[in-house]
Amino acid sequence: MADMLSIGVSALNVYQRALNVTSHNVANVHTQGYSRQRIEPVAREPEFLKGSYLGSGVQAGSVQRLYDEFLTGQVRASLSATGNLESYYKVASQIERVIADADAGLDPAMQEFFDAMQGLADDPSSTPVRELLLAESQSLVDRFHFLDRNLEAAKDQVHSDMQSLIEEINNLADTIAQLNQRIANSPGIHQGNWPNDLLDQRDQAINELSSIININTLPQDDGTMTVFFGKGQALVLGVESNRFALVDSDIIPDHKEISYVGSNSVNLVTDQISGGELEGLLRARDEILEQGRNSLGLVALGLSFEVNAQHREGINLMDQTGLDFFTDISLSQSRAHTLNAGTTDYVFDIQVTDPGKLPAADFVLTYNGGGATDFTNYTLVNESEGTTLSPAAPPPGFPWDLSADLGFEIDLSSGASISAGDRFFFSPTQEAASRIGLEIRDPQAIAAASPIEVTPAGGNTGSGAVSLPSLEEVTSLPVDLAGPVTLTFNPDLDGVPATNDPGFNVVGATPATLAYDPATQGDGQTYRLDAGGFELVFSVTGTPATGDVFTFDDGSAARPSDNRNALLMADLQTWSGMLDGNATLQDTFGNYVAEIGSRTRQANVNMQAQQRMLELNRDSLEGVKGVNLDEEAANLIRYQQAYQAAAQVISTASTLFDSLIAAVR
Amino acid sequence: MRISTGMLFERGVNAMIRQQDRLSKTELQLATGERVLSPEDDPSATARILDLNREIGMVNQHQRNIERARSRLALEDATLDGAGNLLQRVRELTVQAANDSLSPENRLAIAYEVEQLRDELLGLANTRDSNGEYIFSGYQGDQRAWSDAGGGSYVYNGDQGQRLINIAHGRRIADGDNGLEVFGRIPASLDADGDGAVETERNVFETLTLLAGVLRGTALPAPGSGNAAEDANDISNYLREVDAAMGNIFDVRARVGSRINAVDEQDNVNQEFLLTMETTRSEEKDLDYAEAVSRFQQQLTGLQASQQSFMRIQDLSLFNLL
Repeated sequence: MADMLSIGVSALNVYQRALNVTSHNVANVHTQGYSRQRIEPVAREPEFLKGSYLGSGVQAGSVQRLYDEFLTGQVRASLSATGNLESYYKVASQIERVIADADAGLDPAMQEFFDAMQGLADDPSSTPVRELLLAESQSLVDRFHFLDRNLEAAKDQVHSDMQSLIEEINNLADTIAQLNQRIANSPGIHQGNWPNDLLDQRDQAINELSSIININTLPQDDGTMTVFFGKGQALVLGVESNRFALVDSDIIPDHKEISYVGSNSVNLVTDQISGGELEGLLRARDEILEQGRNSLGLVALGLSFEVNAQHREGINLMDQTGLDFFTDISLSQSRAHTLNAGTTDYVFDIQVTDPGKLPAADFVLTYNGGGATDFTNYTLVNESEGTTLSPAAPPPGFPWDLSADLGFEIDLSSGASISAGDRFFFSPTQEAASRIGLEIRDPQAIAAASPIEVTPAGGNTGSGAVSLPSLEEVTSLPVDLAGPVTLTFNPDLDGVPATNDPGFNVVGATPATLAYDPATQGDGQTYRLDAGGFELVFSVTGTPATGDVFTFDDGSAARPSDNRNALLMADLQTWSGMLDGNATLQDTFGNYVAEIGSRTRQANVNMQAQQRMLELNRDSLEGVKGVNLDEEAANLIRYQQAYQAAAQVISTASTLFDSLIAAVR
Repeated sequence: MRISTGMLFERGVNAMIRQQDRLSKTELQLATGERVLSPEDDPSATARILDLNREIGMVNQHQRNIERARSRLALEDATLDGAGNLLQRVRELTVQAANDSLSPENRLAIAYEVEQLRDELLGLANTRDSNGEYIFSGYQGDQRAWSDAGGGSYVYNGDQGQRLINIAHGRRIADGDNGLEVFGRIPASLDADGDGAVETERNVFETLTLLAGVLRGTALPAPGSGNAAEDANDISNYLREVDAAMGNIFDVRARVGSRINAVDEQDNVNQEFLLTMETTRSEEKDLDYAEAVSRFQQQLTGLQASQQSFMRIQDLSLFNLL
C-alpha cells in the first residue's frame, strides 16, 4: 500500500533527479551542440482500494532531450551554403586584389610596352629608345610570369586546403560511425531511454560535416544514423564509414579530383560533391583560377602571335627579316588519359592559327572509333564550359584545319595506335603565360622598318619618281606584299589617242589604272593602291617616259629612319580582333577582371545573406534546445522547494508514526 | 520566441563584429582616398576605370609623339627659312651681276659669293637633328642627304621615304620631307652639258654651280663665251631656275607650316580630351570625403551603441539575485 512515507520518498527521488538534470543544463550552458534536458515526472499507477483509486506518488519518467529535427535540418542546409560561399569568396577576393592592382596588374605593363613601341615609331634609329623597348618588353613578360605564378600558387593552396577538408571529412565520418556504435549498444534505447549526450555529440559531428559537404541523414531503427552525399552514396552506414581521397586527375595536368572509396568500388565523385566548403573550393578553382590562367594565357598568346607576325614582316638594322619578337608559343601538345587503351604516346600537335577565334578554355578530344584520321569520328568538348563543340568538319587526313571556328589546327605528332574511347586533353592557353619570353636581345635586331620599297626599272628614261609607300588603312595584320606591284607609265590609258589620259597601268593591286598627267600633276600627286589587306600610299612626281616601270616589292636593305613596321606594331594596341573580333588585347584580360569582380561581389552578397539565414536558423533551433540560465535558475528554485516540501512530507509521516507509537504505549 | 543564454551572447557579439567590419572598410576608404578598393566593390566601375586608364595612357603617349613631331617640324621650318634667305641673297647678287656695268673683277667676286652660298645651302641640306639623323634623307637618316659628286654634279643619297607619327587615333602626320622634294626637281631651262638637249631637271646646287661658272666665265661644260649678251641670257635662265628652287622651298615650307598648325590643333584637342577623361575617371574612383566622413561617424556611433548595450544586457541574470 502506498503511504505517506513511500510517496514522500518517491518525490524526493524525482526532485533530486530533477535538480541533477537542471545542474547538468547549467553546467553545459556554453557547450557546443548541447540540447537541454528535462525530466517529465509522471504520476505512479494508482491503487484500487476500498472502492476508490489512490495515488501512489510520482516517478521520474525518462530524461528528455529537447530537440527539433526540422530546425536542425535547416541549420545544416545553412551551414553548407555558408561554408560554400565563404570558401569561394576567400579564394576570389585574394586573386582579384592581385590582378586588378593599379601597379602590379597586367594593364599597366601592357600600357608601358605599347608606349615604348610608339617611342620606337617616333625614333627608330635611336639605340636608347630601342633598349627601352626591350626593357619594357621584358618587364611585360615578367609580369605575365608573375601573375601566372600567383594563380598557380593559389591553385596549389586550394588543393592543399581540399586535402585538409577531406581528411576532416574522413575523421568526422569515423567519429559518427563510432558514435553510432556506442548509441546502438546503449541499453534501454528501445524503451525510449536515449543516451542524450552521445546524441548531441553525433549531431555536432554531423553539423561540422555539413559545413564541409552537403549531406542527408536518415535515422535507422537500431539507433544508428546513415549519412548520404551526392546521389545517395553512403558516407556512414551503420557502424561502418567510407572515405574520400584526393587523387591526381587522369587527364588534366596539375589537377586533383576527389575519389570515394566505397565498400566495393572506387570512383571519382568530384562532380557529385555539392554544397559546403569543398564544393566552394572546387568552384573557385575552376571558375577563377583555371579560367584566370586561360584568360591570361590567351592574352599572352594573342600578343606574341600578332606582334611576331608583324615583326617578321619588318626588316631590322642588320638587314634581317623574319625574326620573332616574342617566343613562339603557338604550338602545344595534347596529353593522353592515363587509362587510354591505345598507346599513351599518341600525341596531337595543336597549332594556333588565329588567336581571335581561340576561346580561353581547356579541351578534351575523344575518339569514337572508325578511322583515326577523320575528324568526324571524334568528339571535341570545351571542358571549361562543359559544352560539346561542333565546328565545320575538315576533310579526312591531317592536319585538321579548325581555324574558322576555333582558331587552331590539329595535327598528329606521333602515335602508334588509338582505340575507341581514348581521350586526349589539350589547352593552348593554359601554359601560354608561363611560356612567353623575349626572343630579341639586341636592340639592332628590332625590325622597325618595312622592307617594302619601290624600284624604278633600270631602263627607265623619264624623270618620273615614285615615293616610298606608307602602309595605311590596314584591315588585317600582318602586312606583307603577296607579290610585286608594278606601275607602267602609259600616255594613253584607254587606247583612244584623242582623249588626253596619261597615267599608269597597275598590276598586282587595285585599281588597275591611275591617271597621272605630268604636265599638270608633275609637282606631286598622291595615290592609294589597295594591295589586299592594306593600302600603299605614295606620291608620283616628275615626268616618266612611256613604258617606264616602277615596282613595289620586298627589299633587303635596312633604312634606319624608317618606322613603318614600328607604326604597325604600335597599332596592335587598338587592334580589336580578339574574342572573335570584339576585344583588344587589353580588353581581353579586362573582361576577366570585371568577371572576377562581379563573381566575387555576388559571392559576397550571397554569403552575407546566407550568414544571416544561418543566424536566424540557429536562433530558432537555440530557442528550442538552448539553455536559458534564468529559466534554469527558476527551475532550481522550483525543484528545491518541491524537494523541501517532500522532505516535509516525510517528516510529517515520521511525526504521525511517533504519535501513533506514543498513543499505544 | 524563446531566447537561450548562448543566443543572447552570440547576437550581441555578431552585431558588434558586423559593425566593426563596416567601420574598418570605411576607414580604409578614408585612408586611401579610393572609393573602389577592389573590383568586387563595384565591378562595372572597375571595368570603366581600366578602360579610362587605357585611353588616358594612349593619349598621353600621343602627346609625347606630338612633342617629337613638333620639334622636328620646327627644325625643318627654321632650316627652310635659312635656305630661302640664302636663295634670296643669290637672287640679289644675280640681278646685280646681270647689270652690264659690272667689271669682270666684280663679277668674279659675285661668283665666289654664289659658290659660298651654295656650300652653305649644302650644309643646310645636310642638317642633323638632336639624334644625329639627317632630316632631309628620307628613310636613310644615317646618310648625308646631298653630296658633291665632282665635276659640278651633286647627288641625292637618301630615299623618298616620309616618316609618319601617330598624333591621335587614326591620325598620322609626316615629320619631314625628303631632300629630293626640297632641293631637287628644278626644271632645267638651259642645256648645260652641251649635248643639244635641255635636261629635264637638276637640283639647286648644280644650278648654283652653273651660275657661278657663267659669272666666272667658266661655265661648264658649255664654256661661257665671254660674250656679254650670251652670258646675260644664261644668267637670266639660271635666275629662272633659282626662282623655281625658291618656289619649291616656299611650297614645302607652307606644307610644314600647315603640319605644325595641325599638330598644335591636335595638341589642344588631346588636352581637352585628357581633361574630360581624367574628370570622368576621378568621379568613378575617387572617394567623396564628405559622404564618407559622415558615414564613418554614423558607424562609429553604431559600434559604441552595440558595445554598451552588450555590457548592460550581460549584467542581467537571475543567478545574481539567488
